[in-house]
Amino acid sequence: MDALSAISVTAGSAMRAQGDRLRVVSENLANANSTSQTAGGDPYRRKIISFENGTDERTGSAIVEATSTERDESAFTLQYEPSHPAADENGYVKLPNVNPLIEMSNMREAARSYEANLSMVENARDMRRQLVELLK
Amino acid sequence: MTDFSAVRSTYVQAAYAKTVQGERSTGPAAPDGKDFSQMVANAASQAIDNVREGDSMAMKGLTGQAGLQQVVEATMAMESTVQVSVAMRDKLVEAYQDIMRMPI
Repeated sequence: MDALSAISVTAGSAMRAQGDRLRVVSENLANANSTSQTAGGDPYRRKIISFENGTDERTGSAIVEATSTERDESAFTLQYEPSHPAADENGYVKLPNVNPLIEMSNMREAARSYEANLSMVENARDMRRQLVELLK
Repeated sequence: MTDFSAVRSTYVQAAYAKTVQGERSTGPAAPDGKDFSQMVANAASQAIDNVREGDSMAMKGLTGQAGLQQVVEATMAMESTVQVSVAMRDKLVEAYQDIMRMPI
């Protein structure tokens, strides 16, 4: 397979990975207020996605893969709200360790990276088209 | 006049003999031992496979069995294959027509 076709494999894998990343961001943002069902229990724990370098068997080019989604082990924020069903014996409710600001900046980064890889695919396609134009 | 045509015909014969000889010597030693028509046939069947894959992927996408990105990737591979094969066909037909138009 030629280099220009291999680019679409590499950039495609990156686009898929950024899509996964955006999915995790969306999960975090959606659960930014999800508390525990039991009194004093833990709320939603923020998810973190990590990427890994891999190799595509067919073309031998380097690709990126989303390996695993780990949980963010940082501390929960406590809020005094005795009437809440999830409040512990002191009246404190544990809120998820999701910071909307971080999630939004993560989202922007994922979108930008997706865009960059998309324009890479577009560029490779354009170059291939120009090459074929030579035959005409 | 006759001398000239005699010279020309000997030149032509020599050139023809040389070509035939050259063809014989390079014929069996051609890369992979394949001739041109076989190469074209292989390329064409590969192109048809690519197009069929793009087609089936598009159908899978419409029925929700494949992701949008997979459909786009397969369609783009199909597009480039079709572009190349159409350009190749045009070139081959052009060459054929050039030979047909050649004044004898």
